[in-house]
Amino acid sequence: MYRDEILDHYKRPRNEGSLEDDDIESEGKNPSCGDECRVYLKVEEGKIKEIKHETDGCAISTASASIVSEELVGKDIEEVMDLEKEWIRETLDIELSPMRVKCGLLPLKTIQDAVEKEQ
Amino acid sequence: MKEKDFLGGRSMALNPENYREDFPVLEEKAHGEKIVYFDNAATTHTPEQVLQRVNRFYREENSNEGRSLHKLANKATKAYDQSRKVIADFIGAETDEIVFAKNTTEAVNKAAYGLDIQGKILAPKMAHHSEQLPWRRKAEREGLEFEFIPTSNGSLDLDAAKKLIGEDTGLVSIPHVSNVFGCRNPVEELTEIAHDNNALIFVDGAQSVPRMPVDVKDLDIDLMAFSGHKMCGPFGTGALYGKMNVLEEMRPYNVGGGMIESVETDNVEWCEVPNRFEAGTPNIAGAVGFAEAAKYIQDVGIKKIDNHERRLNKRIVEGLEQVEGLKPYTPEDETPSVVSFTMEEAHPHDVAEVLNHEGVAVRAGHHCAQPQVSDLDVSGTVRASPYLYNTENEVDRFLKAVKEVKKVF
Repeated sequence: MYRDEILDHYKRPRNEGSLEDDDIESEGKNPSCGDECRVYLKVEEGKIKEIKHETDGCAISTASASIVSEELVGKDIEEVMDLEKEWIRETLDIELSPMRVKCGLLPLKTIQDAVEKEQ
Repeated sequence: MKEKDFLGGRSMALNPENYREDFPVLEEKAHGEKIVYFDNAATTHTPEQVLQRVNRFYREENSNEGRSLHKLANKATKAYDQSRKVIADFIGAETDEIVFAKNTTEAVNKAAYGLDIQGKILAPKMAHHSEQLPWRRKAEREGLEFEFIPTSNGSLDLDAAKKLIGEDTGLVSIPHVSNVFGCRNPVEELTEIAHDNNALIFVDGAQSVPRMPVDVKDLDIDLMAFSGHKMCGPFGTGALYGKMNVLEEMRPYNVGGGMIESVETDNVEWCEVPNRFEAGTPNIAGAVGFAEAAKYIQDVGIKKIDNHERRLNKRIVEGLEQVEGLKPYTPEDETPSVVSFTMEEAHPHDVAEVLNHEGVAVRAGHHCAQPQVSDLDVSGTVRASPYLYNTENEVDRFLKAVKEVKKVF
Protein backbone atom coordinates (compact mmCIF):
# COMPACT_ATOMS: atom_id res chain seq x y z
CA MET A 1 0.00 0.00 0.00
CA TYR A 2 2.85 2.39 0.65
CA ARG A 3 4.53 2.26 -2.71
CA ASP A 4 6.92 5.10 -3.54
CA GLU A 5 4.42 7.23 -5.42
CA ILE A 6 1.94 7.15 -2.52
CA LEU A 7 4.62 8.05 0.01
CA ASP A 8 5.86 10.84 -2.27
CA HIS A 9 2.39 12.36 -2.53
CA TYR A 10 1.95 11.97 1.24
CA LYS A 11 5.21 13.67 2.13
CA ARG A 12 4.96 16.32 -0.59
CA PRO A 13 1.29 16.77 -1.44
CA ARG A 14 0.66 18.68 -4.65
CA ASN A 15 -1.79 21.59 -4.84
CA GLU A 16 -1.89 22.27 -1.13
CA GLY A 17 -3.46 25.53 -0.11
CA SER A 18 -6.60 27.51 -0.74
CA LEU A 19 -8.09 29.67 -3.49
CA GLU A 20 -9.30 33.24 -3.24
CA ASP A 21 -12.57 34.32 -4.80
CA ASP A 22 -14.64 32.65 -7.48
CA ASP A 23 -14.14 29.31 -5.90
CA ILE A 24 -16.42 26.64 -4.54
CA GLU A 25 -15.46 24.99 -1.30
CA SER A 26 -16.38 22.02 0.77
CA GLU A 27 -15.07 20.13 3.76
CA GLY A 28 -15.09 16.40 4.28
CA LYS A 29 -14.23 14.30 7.32
CA ASN A 30 -13.81 10.69 8.26
CA PRO A 31 -14.72 10.97 11.93
CA SER A 32 -13.84 7.35 12.58
CA CYS A 33 -10.17 7.92 11.77
CA GLY A 34 -9.78 11.69 11.94
CA ASP A 35 -9.03 12.44 8.28
CA GLU A 36 -10.11 15.95 7.28
CA CYS A 37 -10.05 17.44 3.80
CA ARG A 38 -11.00 20.91 2.71
CA VAL A 39 -11.17 21.50 -1.05
CA TYR A 40 -11.27 24.67 -3.13
CA LEU A 41 -12.30 24.47 -6.81
CA LYS A 42 -12.45 26.87 -9.72
CA VAL A 43 -14.92 25.77 -12.36
CA GLU A 44 -15.06 27.41 -15.80
CA GLU A 45 -17.31 26.47 -18.71
CA GLY A 46 -18.31 23.20 -17.06
CA LYS A 47 -14.75 22.04 -16.48
CA ILE A 48 -12.57 22.01 -13.37
CA LYS A 49 -9.94 24.66 -13.90
CA GLU A 50 -8.08 24.54 -10.60
CA ILE A 51 -8.10 22.53 -7.39
CA LYS A 52 -6.46 23.29 -4.07
CA HIS A 53 -6.81 21.30 -0.88
CA GLU A 54 -5.92 21.35 2.80
CA THR A 55 -5.73 17.78 4.02
CA ASP A 56 -4.93 16.60 7.52
CA GLY A 57 -5.07 12.85 7.70
CA CYS A 58 -3.48 9.52 7.02
CA ALA A 59 -1.07 8.76 4.19
CA ILE A 60 -3.83 7.36 1.99
CA SER A 61 -6.22 10.31 2.28
CA THR A 62 -3.40 12.82 1.85
CA ALA A 63 -1.86 11.04 -1.14
CA SER A 64 -5.32 10.64 -2.65
CA ALA A 65 -6.04 14.37 -2.28
CA SER A 66 -2.75 15.16 -3.95
CA ILE A 67 -3.18 12.70 -6.84
CA VAL A 68 -6.86 13.53 -7.37
CA SER A 69 -6.08 17.26 -7.41
CA GLU A 70 -3.81 16.62 -10.39
CA GLU A 71 -6.02 14.09 -12.20
CA LEU A 72 -9.29 16.03 -12.12
CA VAL A 73 -8.05 19.35 -13.54
CA GLY A 74 -9.47 19.77 -17.02
CA LYS A 75 -12.27 17.22 -16.54
CA ASP A 76 -15.95 17.99 -17.14
CA ILE A 77 -17.82 18.30 -13.87
CA GLU A 78 -20.38 15.76 -15.13
CA GLU A 79 -17.61 13.23 -15.54
CA VAL A 80 -16.29 14.09 -12.08
CA MET A 81 -19.70 13.51 -10.50
CA ASP A 82 -19.84 10.02 -12.01
CA LEU A 83 -16.55 8.87 -10.53
CA GLU A 84 -16.70 6.23 -7.81
CA LYS A 85 -14.42 4.06 -5.72
CA GLU A 86 -13.36 1.94 -8.70
CA TRP A 87 -11.78 5.02 -10.22
CA ILE A 88 -9.98 5.77 -6.97
CA ARG A 89 -8.68 2.20 -6.81
CA GLU A 90 -7.36 2.41 -10.38
CA THR A 91 -5.95 5.90 -9.98
CA LEU A 92 -4.15 5.21 -6.72
CA ASP A 93 -3.15 1.79 -8.05
CA ILE A 94 -3.08 0.18 -4.61
CA GLU A 95 -5.14 -2.44 -2.83
CA LEU A 96 -7.48 -0.62 -0.51
CA SER A 97 -8.75 -2.81 2.30
CA PRO A 98 -12.39 -2.29 3.41
CA MET A 99 -11.40 -0.01 6.27
CA ARG A 100 -9.15 2.18 4.06
CA VAL A 101 -11.56 2.71 1.15
CA LYS A 102 -13.04 5.75 2.83
CA CYS A 103 -9.57 7.22 3.31
CA GLY A 104 -8.94 6.97 -0.42
CA LEU A 105 -12.40 8.23 -1.29
CA LEU A 106 -12.53 11.24 1.03
CA PRO A 107 -10.97 13.86 -1.28
CA LEU A 108 -13.08 12.75 -4.27
CA LYS A 109 -16.28 12.78 -2.21
CA THR A 110 -15.44 16.21 -0.86
CA ILE A 111 -14.88 17.55 -4.38
CA GLN A 112 -18.17 16.02 -5.53
CA ASP A 113 -19.92 17.64 -2.54
CA ALA A 114 -18.48 21.01 -3.49
CA VAL A 115 -19.71 20.66 -7.07
CA GLU A 116 -23.15 19.49 -5.93
CA LYS A 117 -23.52 22.41 -3.52
CA GLU A 118 -22.85 24.83 -6.33
CA GLN A 119 -25.35 23.31 -8.76
CA MET B 1 -14.38 -16.96 42.39
CA LYS B 2 -12.77 -20.36 42.31
CA GLU B 3 -9.45 -20.91 40.56
CA LYS B 4 -7.82 -24.28 40.07
CA ASP B 5 -4.37 -24.39 41.57
CA PHE B 6 -2.53 -27.68 41.30
CA LEU B 7 0.47 -26.56 43.29
CA GLY B 8 -1.12 -26.35 46.71
CA GLY B 9 -1.15 -22.59 46.97
CA ARG B 10 1.93 -21.56 45.00
CA SER B 11 0.97 -20.53 41.49
CA MET B 12 3.37 -20.69 38.61
CA ALA B 13 3.29 -18.05 35.94
CA LEU B 14 1.01 -18.71 32.99
CA ASN B 15 2.76 -20.39 30.07
CA PRO B 16 0.91 -19.35 26.92
CA GLU B 17 2.37 -22.27 24.97
CA ASN B 18 0.11 -24.54 27.04
CA TYR B 19 -2.96 -22.87 25.56
CA ARG B 20 -2.09 -21.77 22.04
CA GLU B 21 -3.08 -25.07 20.48
CA ASP B 22 -6.61 -24.55 21.83
CA PHE B 23 -6.91 -21.62 19.41
CA PRO B 24 -6.42 -22.79 15.81
CA VAL B 25 -6.89 -19.23 14.50
CA LEU B 26 -3.47 -18.44 15.98
CA GLU B 27 -1.99 -20.45 13.09
CA GLU B 28 -3.36 -17.97 10.55
CA LYS B 29 -0.77 -15.96 8.66
CA ALA B 30 -0.59 -12.49 7.20
CA HIS B 31 2.06 -11.66 4.62
CA GLY B 32 3.81 -14.95 5.28
CA GLU B 33 4.04 -14.60 9.05
CA LYS B 34 1.86 -16.05 11.81
CA ILE B 35 -0.32 -13.22 13.01
CA VAL B 36 0.62 -11.61 16.29
CA TYR B 37 -2.90 -10.96 17.52
CA PHE B 38 -2.71 -7.92 19.80
CA ASP B 39 -6.30 -6.79 19.33
CA ASN B 40 -7.87 -8.66 22.26
CA ALA B 41 -9.50 -5.54 23.67
CA ALA B 42 -11.65 -5.57 20.52
CA THR B 43 -12.36 -9.28 20.70
CA THR B 44 -10.63 -12.43 21.91
CA HIS B 45 -10.21 -15.74 20.12
CA THR B 46 -12.48 -18.67 20.92
CA PRO B 47 -10.96 -21.97 22.02
CA GLU B 48 -11.88 -25.39 20.65
CA GLN B 49 -13.50 -26.28 23.97
CA VAL B 50 -16.07 -23.50 23.53
CA LEU B 51 -16.66 -24.27 19.84
CA GLN B 52 -17.19 -27.95 20.61
CA ARG B 53 -19.59 -27.17 23.47
CA VAL B 54 -21.66 -24.93 21.17
CA ASN B 55 -21.66 -27.65 18.50
CA ARG B 56 -22.71 -30.23 21.07
CA PHE B 57 -25.64 -28.06 22.04
CA TYR B 58 -26.85 -27.88 18.44
CA ARG B 59 -26.17 -31.59 17.86
CA GLU B 60 -27.57 -33.10 21.09
CA GLU B 61 -29.65 -30.55 23.00
CA ASN B 62 -31.12 -28.23 20.42
CA SER B 63 -34.49 -26.86 21.40
CA ASN B 64 -36.02 -23.69 22.70
CA GLU B 65 -35.73 -23.25 26.45
CA GLY B 66 -38.33 -22.54 29.16
CA ARG B 67 -41.28 -23.26 26.92
CA SER B 68 -42.00 -26.86 25.96
CA LEU B 69 -41.71 -29.88 28.25
CA HIS B 70 -40.28 -32.53 25.94
CA LYS B 71 -36.89 -34.12 26.43
CA LEU B 72 -34.89 -31.82 24.16
CA ALA B 73 -36.58 -28.77 25.64
CA ASN B 74 -35.66 -30.01 29.11
CA LYS B 75 -32.05 -30.41 28.03
CA ALA B 76 -31.98 -26.91 26.53
CA THR B 77 -33.63 -25.36 29.60
CA LYS B 78 -31.17 -27.08 31.87
CA ALA B 79 -28.22 -26.01 29.72
CA TYR B 80 -29.38 -22.39 29.68
CA ASP B 81 -30.10 -22.24 33.43
CA GLN B 82 -26.79 -23.87 34.18
CA SER B 83 -25.00 -21.33 31.99
CA ARG B 84 -26.54 -18.50 33.94
CA LYS B 85 -25.26 -20.01 37.19
CA VAL B 86 -21.74 -20.43 35.78
CA ILE B 87 -21.60 -16.80 34.68
CA ALA B 88 -23.00 -15.67 38.04
CA ASP B 89 -20.36 -17.69 39.89
CA PHE B 90 -17.67 -16.21 37.66
CA ILE B 91 -18.34 -12.73 39.04
CA GLY B 92 -19.55 -13.67 42.53
CA ALA B 93 -23.21 -12.94 41.87
CA GLU B 94 -26.45 -14.82 42.59
CA THR B 95 -27.79 -16.74 39.61
CA ASP B 96 -30.88 -14.60 39.16
CA GLU B 97 -28.83 -11.44 39.23
CA ILE B 98 -27.54 -12.23 35.72
CA VAL B 99 -29.46 -11.00 32.68
CA PHE B 100 -28.09 -12.33 29.41
CA ALA B 101 -27.55 -9.74 26.66
CA LYS B 102 -26.00 -9.88 23.22
CA ASN B 103 -23.03 -7.74 24.29
CA THR B 104 -21.95 -5.07 26.77
CA THR B 105 -23.64 -2.38 24.67
CA GLU B 106 -27.03 -4.05 24.91
CA ALA B 107 -26.54 -4.67 28.64
CA VAL B 108 -25.89 -0.95 29.26
CA ASN B 109 -28.90 -0.02 27.15
CA LYS B 110 -31.13 -2.40 29.13
CA ALA B 111 -30.01 -0.76 32.36
CA ALA B 112 -30.25 2.80 31.09
CA TYR B 113 -33.73 2.26 29.71
CA GLY B 114 -34.98 0.28 32.65
CA LEU B 115 -33.78 2.29 35.62
CA ASP B 116 -35.66 5.11 37.25
CA ILE B 117 -32.90 7.62 38.03
CA GLN B 118 -33.60 10.63 40.17
CA GLY B 119 -30.66 12.95 39.87
CA LYS B 120 -27.54 13.70 37.87
CA ILE B 121 -25.72 11.05 35.85
CA LEU B 122 -21.92 11.12 35.83
CA ALA B 123 -19.50 9.25 33.57
CA PRO B 124 -15.84 9.86 32.74
CA LYS B 125 -14.72 11.19 29.37
CA MET B 126 -12.78 7.97 28.85
CA ALA B 127 -16.01 5.97 28.87
CA HIS B 128 -16.58 3.90 25.73
CA HIS B 129 -19.42 5.13 23.53
CA SER B 130 -21.40 2.03 24.54
CA GLU B 131 -21.14 3.08 28.15
CA GLN B 132 -21.75 6.81 27.89
CA LEU B 133 -24.25 7.13 25.04
CA PRO B 134 -27.10 5.18 26.68
CA TRP B 135 -26.78 7.41 29.79
CA ARG B 136 -26.48 10.58 27.72
CA ARG B 137 -29.57 9.65 25.72
CA LYS B 138 -31.50 8.88 28.91
CA ALA B 139 -30.47 12.22 30.40
CA GLU B 140 -31.58 14.05 27.27
CA ARG B 141 -34.92 12.24 26.98
CA GLU B 142 -35.81 12.49 30.66
CA GLY B 143 -34.43 15.95 31.37
CA LEU B 144 -31.70 14.71 33.69
CA GLU B 145 -28.34 16.39 34.06
CA PHE B 146 -25.33 14.58 32.60
CA GLU B 147 -21.76 15.54 33.44
CA PHE B 148 -18.31 14.19 32.48
CA ILE B 149 -15.72 13.28 35.10
CA PRO B 150 -12.36 14.48 33.79
CA THR B 151 -9.24 12.40 33.10
CA SER B 152 -5.75 13.42 34.05
CA ASN B 153 -2.50 11.77 33.02
CA GLY B 154 -4.15 8.70 31.64
CA SER B 155 -6.27 8.03 34.73
CA LEU B 156 -9.59 9.09 36.13
CA ASP B 157 -9.32 12.32 38.12
CA LEU B 158 -10.48 10.99 41.49
CA ASP B 159 -10.36 14.39 43.21
CA ALA B 160 -12.59 15.85 40.54
CA ALA B 161 -14.92 12.86 40.86
CA LYS B 162 -15.21 13.38 44.63
CA LYS B 163 -16.23 16.99 44.05
CA LEU B 164 -18.77 16.05 41.39
CA ILE B 165 -20.56 13.22 43.23
CA GLY B 166 -23.03 14.74 45.64
CA GLU B 167 -26.55 14.48 46.98
CA ASP B 168 -27.89 15.53 43.61
CA THR B 169 -26.27 12.51 41.90
CA GLY B 170 -28.51 9.68 40.79
CA LEU B 171 -25.99 7.37 39.09
CA VAL B 172 -22.26 7.16 38.51
CA SER B 173 -21.08 5.09 35.54
CA ILE B 174 -17.45 3.95 35.50
CA PRO B 175 -15.35 1.85 33.14
CA HIS B 176 -13.53 -0.60 35.38
CA VAL B 177 -10.61 -0.68 32.96
CA SER B 178 -10.23 1.96 30.25
CA ASN B 179 -10.02 0.57 26.73
CA VAL B 180 -7.96 3.61 25.72
CA PHE B 181 -5.47 4.04 28.55
CA GLY B 182 -5.61 0.62 30.13
CA CYS B 183 -5.88 2.19 33.58
CA ARG B 184 -7.83 0.50 36.36
CA ASN B 185 -10.30 2.93 37.86
CA PRO B 186 -10.89 3.08 41.64
CA VAL B 187 -14.27 1.38 41.62
CA GLU B 188 -14.32 0.55 45.35
CA GLU B 189 -13.70 4.14 46.35
CA LEU B 190 -16.20 5.52 43.86
CA THR B 191 -18.80 2.97 44.99
CA GLU B 192 -18.44 4.13 48.57
CA ILE B 193 -18.78 7.78 47.62
CA ALA B 194 -21.76 7.07 45.37
CA HIS B 195 -23.53 5.07 48.05
CA ASP B 196 -22.80 7.73 50.69
CA ASN B 197 -24.76 10.03 48.42
CA ASN B 198 -27.55 7.53 47.73
CA ALA B 199 -26.47 7.20 44.12
CA LEU B 200 -26.26 3.98 42.13
CA ILE B 201 -22.97 2.81 40.67
CA PHE B 202 -22.82 1.19 37.26
CA VAL B 203 -19.58 -0.45 36.08
CA ASP B 204 -18.56 -1.15 32.50
CA GLY B 205 -16.76 -4.45 33.04
CA ALA B 206 -16.06 -5.16 29.37
CA GLN B 207 -12.30 -4.85 29.80
CA SER B 208 -11.99 -5.98 33.43
CA VAL B 209 -14.00 -9.19 33.72
CA PRO B 210 -11.91 -10.99 31.05
CA ARG B 211 -8.57 -10.19 32.63
CA MET B 212 -8.74 -9.70 36.41
CA PRO B 213 -10.70 -11.17 39.32
CA VAL B 214 -13.99 -9.27 39.71
CA ASP B 215 -16.30 -10.03 42.63
CA VAL B 216 -19.41 -7.88 42.48
CA LYS B 217 -20.29 -8.50 46.15
CA ASP B 218 -16.83 -7.52 47.37
CA LEU B 219 -17.04 -4.41 45.23
CA ASP B 220 -20.67 -3.81 46.32
CA ILE B 221 -21.50 -2.37 42.90
CA ASP B 222 -25.11 -2.06 41.84
CA LEU B 223 -24.85 -2.98 38.17
CA MET B 224 -22.22 -4.20 35.73
CA ALA B 225 -22.13 -5.00 32.03
CA PHE B 226 -19.65 -7.27 30.27
CA SER B 227 -19.19 -9.29 27.06
CA GLY B 228 -18.66 -12.95 26.35
CA HIS B 229 -16.70 -12.43 23.15
CA LYS B 230 -14.07 -10.44 25.04
CA MET B 231 -13.37 -13.46 27.28
CA CYS B 232 -13.02 -16.27 24.78
CA GLY B 233 -16.78 -16.68 24.38
CA PRO B 234 -18.84 -16.55 21.20
CA PHE B 235 -20.04 -13.36 19.57
CA GLY B 236 -23.55 -12.31 20.52
CA THR B 237 -23.05 -12.99 24.25
CA GLY B 238 -22.79 -10.76 27.26
CA ALA B 239 -24.51 -10.04 30.53
CA LEU B 240 -25.93 -7.38 32.79
CA TYR B 241 -25.36 -8.01 36.49
CA GLY B 242 -27.63 -6.17 38.92
CA LYS B 243 -28.29 -6.39 42.64
CA MET B 244 -31.66 -8.09 42.99
CA ASN B 245 -33.35 -5.08 44.58
CA VAL B 246 -32.08 -2.87 41.74
CA LEU B 247 -33.22 -5.23 38.97
CA GLU B 248 -36.62 -5.64 40.59
CA GLU B 249 -37.24 -1.92 40.21
CA MET B 250 -36.27 -1.90 36.51
CA ARG B 251 -38.68 -1.96 33.61
CA PRO B 252 -37.95 -4.17 30.58
CA TYR B 253 -36.38 -2.82 27.39
CA ASN B 254 -37.62 -5.45 24.95
CA VAL B 255 -41.07 -6.89 25.53
CA GLY B 256 -42.59 -10.00 24.05
CA GLY B 257 -42.66 -13.71 24.65
CA GLY B 258 -40.94 -15.38 27.57
CA MET B 259 -40.96 -12.40 29.95
CA ILE B 260 -44.61 -12.10 31.01
CA GLU B 261 -46.57 -13.34 34.00
CA SER B 262 -49.90 -12.82 32.24
CA VAL B 263 -51.23 -11.08 29.13
CA GLU B 264 -54.85 -9.98 28.96
CA THR B 265 -56.44 -7.71 26.42
CA ASP B 266 -56.24 -4.76 28.76
CA ASN B 267 -53.43 -5.64 31.12
CA VAL B 268 -49.93 -7.13 31.06
CA GLU B 269 -47.86 -8.26 34.01
CA TRP B 270 -44.13 -8.79 33.55
CA CYS B 271 -42.59 -11.84 35.08
CA GLU B 272 -39.86 -11.99 37.66
CA VAL B 273 -36.21 -11.06 37.29
CA PRO B 274 -34.08 -12.00 35.31
CA ASN B 275 -36.44 -13.42 32.69
CA ARG B 276 -38.23 -10.08 32.63
CA PHE B 277 -35.29 -8.68 30.70
CA GLU B 278 -34.88 -11.52 28.19
CA ALA B 279 -37.77 -11.23 25.76
CA GLY B 280 -37.95 -13.65 22.86
CA THR B 281 -35.90 -16.75 22.15
CA PRO B 282 -32.51 -16.18 23.74
CA ASN B 283 -29.13 -17.01 22.26
CA ILE B 284 -29.14 -20.36 24.07
CA ALA B 285 -26.21 -21.84 22.16
CA GLY B 286 -24.33 -18.60 22.76
CA ALA B 287 -25.04 -18.66 26.50
CA VAL B 288 -23.83 -22.25 26.68
CA GLY B 289 -20.64 -21.21 24.88
CA PHE B 290 -20.25 -18.17 27.13
CA ALA B 291 -20.41 -20.42 30.21
CA GLU B 292 -17.87 -22.80 28.68
CA ALA B 293 -15.58 -19.81 28.09
CA ALA B 294 -15.94 -18.79 31.74
CA LYS B 295 -14.94 -22.32 32.76
CA TYR B 296 -11.98 -22.19 30.38
CA ILE B 297 -10.80 -18.90 31.92
CA GLN B 298 -11.25 -20.33 35.42
CA ASP B 299 -9.18 -23.37 34.50
CA VAL B 300 -6.37 -21.19 33.17
CA GLY B 301 -6.67 -18.97 36.26
CA ILE B 302 -7.87 -15.37 36.11
CA LYS B 303 -5.08 -14.13 38.40
CA LYS B 304 -2.50 -15.84 36.19
CA ILE B 305 -4.05 -14.21 33.12
CA ASP B 306 -3.88 -10.84 34.87
CA ASN B 307 -0.21 -11.27 35.79
CA HIS B 308 0.75 -12.64 32.39
CA GLU B 309 -0.95 -9.87 30.48
CA ARG B 310 0.54 -7.12 32.60
CA ARG B 311 3.98 -8.69 32.27
CA LEU B 312 3.61 -8.55 28.50
CA ASN B 313 2.31 -4.98 28.62
CA LYS B 314 5.23 -3.94 30.81
CA ARG B 315 7.57 -5.38 28.17
CA ILE B 316 5.65 -3.50 25.47
CA VAL B 317 5.78 -0.19 27.35
CA GLU B 318 9.50 -0.57 28.09
CA GLY B 319 10.17 -1.38 24.45
CA LEU B 320 8.11 1.52 23.16
CA GLU B 321 9.88 3.94 25.48
CA GLN B 322 13.06 3.23 23.51
CA VAL B 323 11.52 4.35 20.24
CA GLU B 324 12.24 7.96 19.37
CA GLY B 325 9.27 10.10 18.44
CA LEU B 326 6.83 7.65 19.98
CA LYS B 327 4.39 8.91 22.59
CA PRO B 328 2.68 6.41 24.91
CA TYR B 329 -0.74 7.21 26.43
CA THR B 330 -0.48 5.13 29.55
CA PRO B 331 -1.33 5.81 33.17
CA GLU B 332 1.49 7.25 35.23
CA ASP B 333 1.85 4.76 38.00
CA GLU B 334 0.50 1.43 36.90
CA THR B 335 1.16 -1.15 34.24
CA PRO B 336 -1.73 -0.72 31.85
CA SER B 337 -4.13 -3.40 30.66
CA VAL B 338 -3.87 -2.11 27.09
CA VAL B 339 -1.10 0.04 25.58
CA SER B 340 -1.99 3.10 23.48
CA PHE B 341 0.56 5.21 21.64
CA THR B 342 1.17 7.52 18.70
CA MET B 343 4.20 7.99 16.45
CA GLU B 344 5.28 11.31 15.04
CA GLU B 345 6.13 9.84 11.61
CA ALA B 346 2.73 8.54 10.75
CA HIS B 347 -1.00 8.66 11.34
CA PRO B 348 -2.24 5.84 13.62
CA HIS B 349 -3.95 4.07 10.71
CA ASP B 350 -0.74 4.05 8.73
CA VAL B 351 1.16 2.69 11.73
CA ALA B 352 -1.44 -0.07 12.04
CA GLU B 353 -1.17 -0.75 8.30
CA VAL B 354 2.61 -1.17 8.45
CA LEU B 355 2.21 -3.43 11.48
CA ASN B 356 -0.34 -5.44 9.51
CA HIS B 357 2.22 -5.89 6.74
CA GLU B 358 4.55 -7.32 9.38
CA GLY B 359 1.81 -9.71 10.51
CA VAL B 360 0.94 -7.77 13.69
CA ALA B 361 -2.70 -7.02 14.47
CA VAL B 362 -3.52 -3.91 16.50
CA ARG B 363 -6.33 -1.39 16.55
CA ALA B 364 -5.99 2.25 15.53
CA GLY B 365 -8.40 5.11 15.87
CA HIS B 366 -10.51 6.64 18.57
CA HIS B 367 -11.50 3.27 20.07
CA CYS B 368 -15.13 4.33 20.39
CA ALA B 369 -14.07 6.99 22.87
CA GLN B 370 -14.10 10.13 20.76
CA PRO B 371 -14.61 12.62 23.62
CA GLN B 372 -11.51 11.29 25.36
CA VAL B 373 -9.31 10.90 22.28
CA SER B 374 -10.13 14.37 20.98
CA ASP B 375 -9.19 15.72 24.43
CA LEU B 376 -5.73 14.29 23.82
CA ASP B 377 -5.61 16.44 20.71
CA VAL B 378 -4.79 13.50 18.46
CA SER B 379 -6.79 11.97 15.64
CA GLY B 380 -6.43 8.59 17.30
CA THR B 381 -3.96 6.23 18.88
CA VAL B 382 -2.57 2.79 18.08
CA ARG B 383 -3.58 0.23 20.68
CA ALA B 384 -1.90 -3.08 21.48
CA SER B 385 -3.79 -5.48 23.75
CA PRO B 386 -2.31 -8.94 24.35
CA TYR B 387 -4.12 -11.77 26.18
CA LEU B 388 -3.51 -15.15 27.75
CA TYR B 389 -2.26 -16.85 24.59
CA ASN B 390 0.28 -14.17 23.60
CA THR B 391 4.01 -14.60 24.18
CA GLU B 392 7.10 -12.54 24.90
CA ASN B 393 8.41 -13.43 21.42
CA GLU B 394 5.30 -11.86 20.00
CA VAL B 395 5.99 -8.69 21.98
CA ASP B 396 9.46 -8.60 20.43
CA ARG B 397 7.97 -9.08 16.95
CA PHE B 398 5.56 -6.24 17.67
CA LEU B 399 8.38 -3.93 18.76
CA LYS B 400 10.38 -4.83 15.63
CA ALA B 401 7.34 -4.02 13.50
CA VAL B 402 6.95 -0.64 15.22
CA LYS B 403 10.52 0.19 14.20
CA GLU B 404 9.61 -0.74 10.59
CA VAL B 405 7.23 2.23 10.58
CA LYS B 406 10.26 4.51 10.79
CA LYS B 407 11.75 2.82 7.71
CA VAL B 408 8.57 3.21 5.65
CA PHE B 409 7.84 6.77 6.70
